[in-house]
Amino acid sequence: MTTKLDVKAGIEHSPPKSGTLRVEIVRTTPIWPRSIFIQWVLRNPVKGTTYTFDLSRAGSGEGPWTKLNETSLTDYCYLDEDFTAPTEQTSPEILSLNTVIYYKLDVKVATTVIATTTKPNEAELDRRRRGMRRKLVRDAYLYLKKIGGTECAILKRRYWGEPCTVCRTTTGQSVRSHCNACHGTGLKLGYWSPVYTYAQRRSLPIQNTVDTSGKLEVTKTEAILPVFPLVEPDDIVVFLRDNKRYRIEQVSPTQLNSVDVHQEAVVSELAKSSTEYGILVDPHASPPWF
Amino acid sequence: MGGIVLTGSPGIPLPKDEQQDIAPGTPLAIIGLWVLALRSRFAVTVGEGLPWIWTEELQTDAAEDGIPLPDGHPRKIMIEAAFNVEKSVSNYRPAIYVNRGPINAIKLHVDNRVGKSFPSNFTGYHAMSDIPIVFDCVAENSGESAIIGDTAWFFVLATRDLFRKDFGFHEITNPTLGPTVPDNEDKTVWKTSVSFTIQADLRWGTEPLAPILNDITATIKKSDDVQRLLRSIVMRETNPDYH
Repeated sequence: MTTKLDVKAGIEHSPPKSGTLRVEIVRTTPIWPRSIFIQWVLRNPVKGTTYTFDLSRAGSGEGPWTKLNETSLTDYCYLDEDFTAPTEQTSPEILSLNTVIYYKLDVKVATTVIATTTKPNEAELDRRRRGMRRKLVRDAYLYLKKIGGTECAILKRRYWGEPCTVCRTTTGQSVRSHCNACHGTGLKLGYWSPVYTYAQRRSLPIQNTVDTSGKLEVTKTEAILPVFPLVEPDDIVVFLRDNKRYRIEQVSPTQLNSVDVHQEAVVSELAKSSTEYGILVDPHASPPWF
Repeated sequence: MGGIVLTGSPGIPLPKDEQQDIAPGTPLAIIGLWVLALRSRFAVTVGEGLPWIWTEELQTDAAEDGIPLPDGHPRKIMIEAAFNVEKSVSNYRPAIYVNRGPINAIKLHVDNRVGKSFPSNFTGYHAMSDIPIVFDCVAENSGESAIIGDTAWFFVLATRDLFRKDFGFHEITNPTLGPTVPDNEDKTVWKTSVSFTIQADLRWGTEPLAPILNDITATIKKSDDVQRLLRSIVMRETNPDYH
């Protein structure tokens, strides 16, 4: 008999009791610039049961997901080669330094999904350091949840998807920054689904300067973010308690053996008339427990 | 431009009802003219389906009821004089800021002299002012900035002769549409500049003090009643009979 393991997308959970079935993506190895190799294992499978897998891909840990395999996979690995980098941005590319691809693996028995896990492409650690990293990630998340942070939504900007039919031109540019369909990105929806988590931002004064536009108000500060989801420049952090929205300008992750543990980012508060304030997030969302 | 931008009198480079300290043809008067002209171009009454409209209020309609507007609904554009800090809105985009460059007076005549009246030694002068005008078209993405810049650029190109005639300018050059370049504010914004030059006539005269003093001396000398004459000057009486 198999036991369904309810794992929130991208959220590591407390180690299950021994004997519980779980799935783990153990390797996401980029083979630049053409493909990413993904490998997974099943812990505590039930003997005699046939497991199949569905692998999906997105630009954020909360999807929406695009299924990669047409028929269910039976192997425990997959070579994702669909990185053609088209100029129309209809599919992802891994030529950019910032691109992070998220994979979601569904484990199925017959047609029933019994376990799910999510993982971005990142370096791997050995068993001992994996445990250390897990402790550091958990401590960082615990600090942000219990002490220093507040609820926030992270909006990862889309770099591939369906072109916006309202404002995108043949040059690939959006000509309406406040387009309701793409929020000025040129791609439908503009941003991936929000990931609700905790973050801490520092308090810095508003810098008032005068230029051709009159008074220009800029606040650049630092924010501490958990490791999931990995953020990139131009992603948006929405602090839910005051609905202030910040654009990620620079990310400096703290790492253990080249694997991120938590992220420190330079963020800039967006003008209240910015198009990013038109993106809907749930102000009452309660981020899941670690 | 008459009818779009109202002027007090034909051929005067000054908006109608301008503040009293603003003299015709001065930099603020000319910037004010172009601010009004651009606002008229982007006003909703033009009704040609531009994706941007200028109104006196910048608040978006969507903010009133929280319901997003349908795709393609015009976005309100801010059109202001550059470096105007006397406004409550900051960091608003899209926007057009009207600015000017350094003004030169071009010398067209020897010592700028154009004539002299020998009895009074009154000398007339003339020069041409060269006033560079720049529109900074700012938007949150490059495509939008490029189109707003293009709209403003063609507006100047298409109306420069009307503008020149109605406001008494000597020349308005064909505008130059600059490249769209990024700038870092609270986020990366894009600016497209539209630049052109206005030429306006400058005329002035000088009258030497000595002939005026001589004239006063002669008036006093020929007066029958000097005391009464001086009193009339002190009392600022203007009756010519006293002189």
